[in-house]
Amino acid sequence: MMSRLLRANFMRLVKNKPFYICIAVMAFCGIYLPVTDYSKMIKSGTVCIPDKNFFAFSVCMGVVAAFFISMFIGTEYSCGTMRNKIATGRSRVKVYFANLITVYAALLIICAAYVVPYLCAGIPLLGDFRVYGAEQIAVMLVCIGFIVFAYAVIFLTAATLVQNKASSAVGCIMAAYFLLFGGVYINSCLMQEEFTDNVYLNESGETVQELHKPNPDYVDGTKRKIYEFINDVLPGNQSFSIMMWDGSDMSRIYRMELFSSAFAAVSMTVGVILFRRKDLK
Amino acid sequence: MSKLLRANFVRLFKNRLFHFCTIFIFAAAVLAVFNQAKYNEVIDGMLFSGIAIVSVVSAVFISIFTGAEYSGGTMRNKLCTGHSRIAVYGANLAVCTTSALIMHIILIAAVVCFGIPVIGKITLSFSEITAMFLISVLVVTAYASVYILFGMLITSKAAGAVSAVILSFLLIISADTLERIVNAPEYRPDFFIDEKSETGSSAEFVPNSNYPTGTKRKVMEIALNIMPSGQALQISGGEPPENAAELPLYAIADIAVTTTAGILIFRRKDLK
Repeated sequence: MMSRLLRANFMRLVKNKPFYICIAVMAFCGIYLPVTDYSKMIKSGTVCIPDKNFFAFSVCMGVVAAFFISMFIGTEYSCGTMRNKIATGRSRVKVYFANLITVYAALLIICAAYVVPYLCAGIPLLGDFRVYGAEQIAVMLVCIGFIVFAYAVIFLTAATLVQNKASSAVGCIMAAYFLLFGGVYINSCLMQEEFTDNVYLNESGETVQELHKPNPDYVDGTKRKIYEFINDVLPGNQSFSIMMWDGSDMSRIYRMELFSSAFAAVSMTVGVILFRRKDLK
Repeated sequence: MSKLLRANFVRLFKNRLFHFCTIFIFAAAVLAVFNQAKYNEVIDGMLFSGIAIVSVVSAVFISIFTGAEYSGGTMRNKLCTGHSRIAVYGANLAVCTTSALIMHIILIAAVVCFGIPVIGKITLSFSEITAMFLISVLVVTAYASVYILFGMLITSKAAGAVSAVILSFLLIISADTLERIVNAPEYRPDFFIDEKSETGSSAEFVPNSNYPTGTKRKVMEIALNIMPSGQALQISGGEPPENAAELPLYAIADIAVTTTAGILIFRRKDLK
């Protein structure tokens, strides 16, 4: 019975305008970033490698997922599709999972809309990957797949539980930005070095060096442990960590995959339970 | 138009989202004050740095408030009862600008009321505060006129709200990026091994290749001045910016251009 729901969802997906807007934006980014790096390399002579921006799309996926899912699922309520599905005897659990499969598949296609143009433009212009090996790239892409799944579950749950399309769209997008900025803030706190080197010109024009000065912004102790835990659990933090990753400590990537799955499982369970009890009017 | 204004203001003050937004702004300002308590001794830098959050919250509010006029049929009723489209646009602009300014004033009041006892005093002179406040009022008005343009021209409530919210974040991110590029230092320290030095290394200042010059710099500065988010960023430093006399002109130009464009397009729009 779920196959019919899936078929109907995918038919709607193929005709969905927000889906094509997301694909167009991601494809544009996938071409724009390597071309900009290439022009910078030609003008200033600095070495640019394709590794630098390849995983940058993981940062935008939160906002893209929030936009697409809230518009796609919101339409089910505003146009009465949800009522029709329930009225024709489909169980709420099946409706939820059919929607989850559809939006996750759509998000993976949106990711591919960045990755494929990036590789097609980046490798001829900037050369081969030099920091990451093939295995590392594969593991990180799988990790992004997990993060995107966590985003899909969070925003699907929100969009399914809030029937007003405008409210759910605004709420999801705001949540995506808060997750992203929270990720940027916590990552920047954790990236502070314990000691800093400061160089400046004094009033008489001489260069003054203050080396190995303790950094007052360095986070340590329990606060650091809490920040590190949040950094591993929340998808906004994970996306930013993936973008800034230097290729070392593969165990952290596996840990993030595990936390993403756990986060998605909890959100999914909460989503299904609340959706089953929801008064759909 | 007075009837339209009266109806709009009655709707504004009964609007639950507006109440929520003002409470959110107040709470955010109080939280920011306590968060900054250990870093600052004066509140000058915090007085006008909250425009960014006002811009995002007012994007949410204005788009949903205006969108509800379409989805609830209020817009059709207003036009059917003989009000001109210019009057409808003007009344909505007035009420939405007022709502954004109320949020802005609540934020400043919260920073002053909580900031002075928790952080410290204001060192800016009265004339400086007045000048920066007037600029900030124009910046918030410029933001409101941009969002009202979207709210009035996009009839779908959800699409209007999404566009306004995404636009508000894009404006903040692009202004921040531009400001960082424009304010990059002209020279940067370059370290080299120096056996004579006690630390084994020395540094000399070399030209920064990322420092923009010539036409590129001028274009970036103009873009920063044109964007309301750029104007907001420039007055958030805790002291009047060098181009304090120019910023109000840019803000007024933003208001004039967006309002004129909005009215012209709204007059010709097929409202179905």
